[in-house]
Amino acid sequence: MFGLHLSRRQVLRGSLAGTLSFAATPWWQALLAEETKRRKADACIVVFLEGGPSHIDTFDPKPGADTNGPFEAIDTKIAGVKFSQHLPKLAAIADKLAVIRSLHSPEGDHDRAVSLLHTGYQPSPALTYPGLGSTLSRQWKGVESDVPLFVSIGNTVGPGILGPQFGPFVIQDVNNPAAALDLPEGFGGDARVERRLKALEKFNQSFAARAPLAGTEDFTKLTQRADRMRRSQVFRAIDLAATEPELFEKYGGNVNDGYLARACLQARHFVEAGVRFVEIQFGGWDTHADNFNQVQNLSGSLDAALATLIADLGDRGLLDKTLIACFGEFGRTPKINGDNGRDHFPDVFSAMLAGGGLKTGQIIGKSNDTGSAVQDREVKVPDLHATLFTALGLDVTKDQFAPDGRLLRLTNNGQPIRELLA
Amino acid sequence: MSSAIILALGLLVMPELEQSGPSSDAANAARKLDTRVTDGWESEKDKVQPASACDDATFLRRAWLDLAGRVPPFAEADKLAKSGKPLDRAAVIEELLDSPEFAAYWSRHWAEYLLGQRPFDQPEFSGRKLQQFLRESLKANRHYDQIATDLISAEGAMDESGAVNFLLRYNADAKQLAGAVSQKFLGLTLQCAECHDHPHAAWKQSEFWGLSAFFARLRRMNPANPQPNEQFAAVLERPRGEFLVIDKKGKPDEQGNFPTRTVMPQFPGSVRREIAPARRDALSAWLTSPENPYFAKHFVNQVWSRLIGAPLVLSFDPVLPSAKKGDLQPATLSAAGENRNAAILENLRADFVASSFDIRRLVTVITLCETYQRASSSHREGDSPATDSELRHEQDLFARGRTRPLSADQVHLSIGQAFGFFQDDGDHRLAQLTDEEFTYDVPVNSFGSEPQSLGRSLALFNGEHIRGAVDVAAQSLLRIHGDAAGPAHLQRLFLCLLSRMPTDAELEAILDLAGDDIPQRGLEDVTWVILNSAEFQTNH
Repeated sequence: MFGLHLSRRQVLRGSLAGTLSFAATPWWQALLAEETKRRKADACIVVFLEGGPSHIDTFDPKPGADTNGPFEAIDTKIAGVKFSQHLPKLAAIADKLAVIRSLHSPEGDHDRAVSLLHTGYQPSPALTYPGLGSTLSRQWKGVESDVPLFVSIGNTVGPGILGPQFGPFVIQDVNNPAAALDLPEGFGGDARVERRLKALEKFNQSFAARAPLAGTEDFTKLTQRADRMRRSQVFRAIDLAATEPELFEKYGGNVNDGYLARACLQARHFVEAGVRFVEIQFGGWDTHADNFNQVQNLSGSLDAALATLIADLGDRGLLDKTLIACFGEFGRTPKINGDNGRDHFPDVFSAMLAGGGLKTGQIIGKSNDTGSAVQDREVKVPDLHATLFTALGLDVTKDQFAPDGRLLRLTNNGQPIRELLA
Repeated sequence: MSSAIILALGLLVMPELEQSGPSSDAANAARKLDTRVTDGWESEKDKVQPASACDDATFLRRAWLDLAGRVPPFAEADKLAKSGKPLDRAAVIEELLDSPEFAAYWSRHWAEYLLGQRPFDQPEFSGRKLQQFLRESLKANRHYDQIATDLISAEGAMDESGAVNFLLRYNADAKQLAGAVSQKFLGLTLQCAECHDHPHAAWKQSEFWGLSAFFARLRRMNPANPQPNEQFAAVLERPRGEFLVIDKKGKPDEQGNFPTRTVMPQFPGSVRREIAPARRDALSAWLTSPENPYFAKHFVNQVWSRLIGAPLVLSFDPVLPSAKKGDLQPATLSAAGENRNAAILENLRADFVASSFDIRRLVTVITLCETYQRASSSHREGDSPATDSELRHEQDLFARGRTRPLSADQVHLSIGQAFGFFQDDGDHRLAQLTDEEFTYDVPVNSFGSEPQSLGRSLALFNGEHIRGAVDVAAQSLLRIHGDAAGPAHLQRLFLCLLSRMPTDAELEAILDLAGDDIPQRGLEDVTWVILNSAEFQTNH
């Protein structure tokens, strides 16, 4: 055991196993429960609604206003708060959600806004800011794991200036998270792999001595991580529909193409296996035309997947330590255009949060009657990020530095939303 | 492998190249450019110790990777290793620029830049046709202003005009094209001004609209009854039609809708309205004029960045004075650094304009430079070895070469060059029919788009492409050099992938690994080690 650093989580697991193997003493368990309750979240799942979802047609309906469009607003578990009629499952568990209705951003262009919502900074040519998952991976540095800390289902914003070791493992095909994990038949097993790795390390060392700025160490580390990942089970192709058919259906496996159901169920598997940050890209929200049919379809997937993910994590005792966040790069115009669509609108939009020990069952901020401006408690993107970081146990006020020594705080002066934090 | 042999034969019958005329003129221009680089070092506190020139083998590999997107063929590396004579670097550059590989590789990444996405072929446009247009243009050494003019003034059907696919990529839509043209040809982010005059943005909405109006008469045409799998679209320019915007200052009608207002074409940064009948001709004339402050500058900055590994100027957008005090501002170059780089950029721009936008000459001048040819390794004449931060500082001054990770295309093409292995042979043959190197996106599918990522490492570790490549490599080494793995096998492997001979120490260490009871397995292991090494995965 010498030199082995146990994480808090492992210690807790160890003590839990200890209490169970001996006669369970109630006061121990109570203490453990208390400790668990106070513990910060240590994993995060972000469902990114790529394209920019209409806030009015999802979490911030405007019944009676001209801008509302054809969707009805329905009651939720929070008194006096309504969601779109196409989010009934989320409405029914609104006490487990927190919805921010007063996000405001300066970026109305997809690329720039996607970058802002991921990094918390407006894009700049002088510094490639890291995305949320990479920033967190760096904070979690030293967490030993066979699985990557940061997994993205679909492309995301990478590590930027933090460097490749904090980059995501990107999954393009959710049905087959990582291709070619198994060694071919007759390969010769791990012994042959070890021999290759040893020779590679030596070969890389001699190159590093000649070319110190070539990032050789990053290459070596990435190869070693690839090897560890190859041995883990969780990235092997798995037919979720067949292994957990009932649950899969609840996640919305039969709604549309079932992509989001699969992605969210995979995300749960990943978190259980020790992945700390999972991002899921869920696109299609750029509804310049035919907004209402499209949003209705997308909402069907979103409603089932998120509501079931929250319930599923809850059933497994993982909800308190798993933070869930769902947002896109901006909202959409209150005005309905000639193509029955809505256009980009960063002036006011919504985000949904759940789990992670947040104080849920509340709405933060308010947009005006038509959904065209923030009316109360403007939340900037860095504030949203500061809230996520704080819930994950990080101090956003501390000065942090990029690898090249430049000041790079976790957020651009973001203030955590205190009402949400326990 | 066959194309490598053909190329090598081609080189043998080439006539001796004259060392006068255009190439010596380019050499003079390269010397001038080097002087601009070294001039900047005078303002440095400490004496700058530039890296010496990289060795010939490194240069050969660097030039091939940069210009042809792949490592040099074995025959070239072998010839150099055996010759004992210094390499004629200017001749290497000239031959590469004349090669079909240069046109294929540069047109591919240029198309990727203009389209902003991969894979190239989408239902709405044919990126392949665009790439073919760029490839043929590069082959014929058409100049940059002509190519840009073609792209902006294109018209016709997607399968007949390659250039029109640039317009189709942006839906032949006035506003999207204004954003794309300013970004791709001028390096400016005008599209931020689409929604409103933004306090933090340098451009006015009226300027964005004025640029949009040049494209107001374009129409994207689709077939009335599209057939399944049919890919067709065309761009036409109508004789009339104006760019209309919603006038929020006007008086709304009874339904609350604001009136519209016509915006006439207007060049960004100018107050003059353009009323020429051929709007896009007027735009491309303005764009490609030698007086345009950004057109040439943006292009040479990009080419420099591609070849040297870092741009001279990070952004051409005017500096924003509006940033609030206390906002975290990213550090930029020092004022001295900016002046230094501006002088290099101006020198390059002037030379490019004077050559009437000759792309090949631009590439020749940069690659002939000492700056391009400097070593990236840490070796320093004399005393103590440099620290990492000293080396980094030298790179910022362009006094030392930069190491750059290979793109997916470079990995794919290099493995193809080395072993004749392309993973999807069916695709490779299909592609050859259209004179392309791949039709489907084999490189990205096999190796992932991000260099230095877990996905790339996993692919190189155990991906099918790599399994196939090490198998083929081991087989062909055994066929050529006999059944027992020995130095000859390894020397060939090193020359194929790293363009250099192994050192004695490497030979000993690697022979140990290669000495498996089964020679095929031993050589597979060695090939695997090299393909997974930092040395193979970088251009250094």
